[in-house]
Amino acid sequence: MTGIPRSVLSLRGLAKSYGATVAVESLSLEVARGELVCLLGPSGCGKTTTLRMVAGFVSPTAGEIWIEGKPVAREPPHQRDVGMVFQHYALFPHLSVADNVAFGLVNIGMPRAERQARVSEMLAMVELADLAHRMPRELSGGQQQRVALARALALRPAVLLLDEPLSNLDSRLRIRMREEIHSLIRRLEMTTVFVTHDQEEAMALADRIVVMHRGRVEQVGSPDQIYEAPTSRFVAEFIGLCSLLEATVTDVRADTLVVQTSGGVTLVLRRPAVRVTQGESVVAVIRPEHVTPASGGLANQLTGRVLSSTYLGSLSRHRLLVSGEELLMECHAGTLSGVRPGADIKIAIDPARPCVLVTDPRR
Amino acid sequence: MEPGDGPVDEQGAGEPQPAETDAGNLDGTRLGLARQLAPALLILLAFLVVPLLALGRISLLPGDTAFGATGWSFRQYAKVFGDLFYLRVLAETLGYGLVVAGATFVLGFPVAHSLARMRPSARRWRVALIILPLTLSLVVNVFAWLVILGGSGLVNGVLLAMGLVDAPIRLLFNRGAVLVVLIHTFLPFQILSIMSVIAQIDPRLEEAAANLRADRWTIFRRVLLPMALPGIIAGSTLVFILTVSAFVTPRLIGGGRVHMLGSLIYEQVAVVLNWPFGGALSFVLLAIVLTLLGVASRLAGARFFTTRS
Amino acid sequence: MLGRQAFLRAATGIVRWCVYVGLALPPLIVVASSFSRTTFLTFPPKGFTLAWYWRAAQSQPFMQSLLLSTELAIVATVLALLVGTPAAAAIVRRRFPGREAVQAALLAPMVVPLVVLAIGLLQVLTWLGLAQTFAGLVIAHVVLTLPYVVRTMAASLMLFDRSLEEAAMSLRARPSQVIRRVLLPILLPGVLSASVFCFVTSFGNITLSAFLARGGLVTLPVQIFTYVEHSYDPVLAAVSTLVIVVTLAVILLVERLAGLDRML
Repeated sequence: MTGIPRSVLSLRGLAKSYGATVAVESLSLEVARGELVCLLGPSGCGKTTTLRMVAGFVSPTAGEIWIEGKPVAREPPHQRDVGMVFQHYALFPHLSVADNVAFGLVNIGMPRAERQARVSEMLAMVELADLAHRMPRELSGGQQQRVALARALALRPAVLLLDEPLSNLDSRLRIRMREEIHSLIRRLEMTTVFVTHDQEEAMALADRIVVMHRGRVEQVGSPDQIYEAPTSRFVAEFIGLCSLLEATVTDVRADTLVVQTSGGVTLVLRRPAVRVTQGESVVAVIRPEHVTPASGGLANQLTGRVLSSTYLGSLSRHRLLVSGEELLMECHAGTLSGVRPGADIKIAIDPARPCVLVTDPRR
Repeated sequence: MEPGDGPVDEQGAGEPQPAETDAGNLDGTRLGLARQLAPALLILLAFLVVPLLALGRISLLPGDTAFGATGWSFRQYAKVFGDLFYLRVLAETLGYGLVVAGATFVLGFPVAHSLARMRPSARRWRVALIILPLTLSLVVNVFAWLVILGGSGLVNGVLLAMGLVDAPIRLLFNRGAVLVVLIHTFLPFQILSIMSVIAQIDPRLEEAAANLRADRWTIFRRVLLPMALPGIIAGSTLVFILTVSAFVTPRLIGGGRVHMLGSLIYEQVAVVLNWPFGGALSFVLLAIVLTLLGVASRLAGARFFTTRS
Repeated sequence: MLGRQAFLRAATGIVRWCVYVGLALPPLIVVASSFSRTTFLTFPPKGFTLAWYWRAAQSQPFMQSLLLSTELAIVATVLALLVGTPAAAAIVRRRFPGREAVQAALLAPMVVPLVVLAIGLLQVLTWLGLAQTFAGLVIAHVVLTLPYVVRTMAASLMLFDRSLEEAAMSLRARPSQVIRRVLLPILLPGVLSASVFCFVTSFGNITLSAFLARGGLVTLPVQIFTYVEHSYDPVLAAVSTLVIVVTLAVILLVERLAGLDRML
């Protein structure tokens, strides 16, 4: 892709290596105005390095970064039109809340009256107006984060960058802050990139998720695309729960595939978009909710033995042994009450929902 | 902590510490590094290294003065090690070093231990008290001792008042007085050194030992002493070095009677103006100090590993 | 067994209190005996008079040396901070070959016996024609206090959260603005702490000053030292009290500004 990009943030062939170690391997991404993109992956996958390259704290080994049609890859951080919220907030301890929020405005030389108006506006937006004169150490974690947000947004940047924004908060606060951040960003139509290792957070917040692993992009897509149609084992296993069944294709039909698992089970599944030929090795990604207790005319009916059951309130989750392979099943509470480990039950696998991956010998 | 360490949120095999920045930081370029270090290093080179080299050169002069002198000779060192007087001073100085190091250890350990185990609020003023003598000039401390030990000073006053003596006794200008003052002067160093090392020993280890029937002496001998040894060695070495280098105390408290290496050097350089000999004496002192530092660091280091059990 | 325990407890308790008293007493004695009416040094002091302070104030040698010591300490402190802080920053924040060696070198003056350094320094300064000058004294005191600056500022810089720098830059602060608005204000306690160490060390130093300042430039401690060698009377107590007062004043002033907690 060449020429000046029209998207707000454009990464082209962005790469970073430290000597022989490759931290990020040729990442390309276009982020549209108002879009919320999440970089998701385990520790060491390169997501934070990518974010820091966009911010300007790491210089790329190769590739381009364009912000609002301007190439910025060689520019120092203080000249880039980005706002960043750091993982531990990085509030200036010697400045009050109001002075923290005003910090960037002072640096760009905004006159005092205008500055004060903007600060009041930002503090009102994050509902911290009455804490304007407090010092950071007097605030709770959630309040500190809101100050960090207000501070970054005060400059009305083209792109907002968030580094693991919620990982320091306890779980209840995390969910509430997640919703607050989400609605704030939406209201401002702020183009946002955030980094997290928490897949629930990614699924809840993002318009699109970039799943990364060992420096490489595994898959880019909306949350439901990532969940329902993972394109690799890694993505399938990283997001949500699943059982992976290795199988061989025995028959290719118009809309479906017939496969036989290594355990000898025959399944009819939805045909994937990629071309599949008979005899090829595939992996069936079966999510726990794709497995239900058998009844009536359901397809893919099998017998399995219950290995263990976990009661989770609204759901129950069961580990089953089906023809020598482990299968996870999830049902609404009460569906399988009274089923004990060791019991045999009849189950059915929804043919339409599991995704079939063509296994690449490289993986 | 390595430079560049920031809040750690990811520890990955493939990804460096997130705060590692090779762009957009304050530290700049290679040229910047040189500019940061150059002034300090140049000053040290010119006014620490060169002086020591100059000292070495002076000590190898044959004559009795450095002024316009030339020539190379080991005569000065021969004088140091050949003359019984100087050898005795050397030996005595080393002896003082040992005594002071040992005494400060015995006196300082109980204080250091109680300080290490104290709440910060209680500790603060006590530590300030201990540091106070260090901040005041040495002369002030020594002078105070002149007042305490003098003919009409505190000790004599008490002795007279209690009727233990009829006339003031001479307490100053002898070895004992010098030792007392040296111990007093360097005690804070030992206390701080031991305190910091005991603070690193988990107090629960002492509790565990007590639970296993160890009395306080045993706890000291078998738990505290072995584990605190590196700090004790460090503190004692420091005190030893300070003691053998001392010159104000022996001159003022010892009168003309007590000779230590430091005061001898001062005499030769500032009074007799025999720089070559003074230089040789200094180099002997420097050699002692450096040897000691080498030995101590090896001792402390090695012992540190064996007490890990 | 119980007897030994009790004995040990008592013994260590006594030792502890002796140490505290022993450390606190001498300065108090000096101050007290400066008020004595007698012409020789006594303790406890007899009578009360401020005559010795008058004498000290009118004594040109003492007042001049007090002024010199103060000036010297201030100049040496400022220079040591200017030279030592960038060096400390280089050691803490950057990786380069020989970093450990440089660190050892910067702390070396603390290890070399001052007596040894003094002679060599005297010779070098003589070669440079700076032997009896204020500049020579300043150089010596900068070498003396540099390790304190490096050690204190290195500790301060290590504790500094670098994400604050990055946050500042992400908020459009140029490097000079980052230093001015974020780094320096937060490092101020460290700077003050280093200043105290430097001032106190320089002000109270005898050894270097004694060797380097014979003749014209005599610092206060050296003045006291030479005076005591010949005779002693309560004037010395008064002057020593002055030293105590100046030292404590500096420490308390800085503590008021920075907070003792952050220094100790």
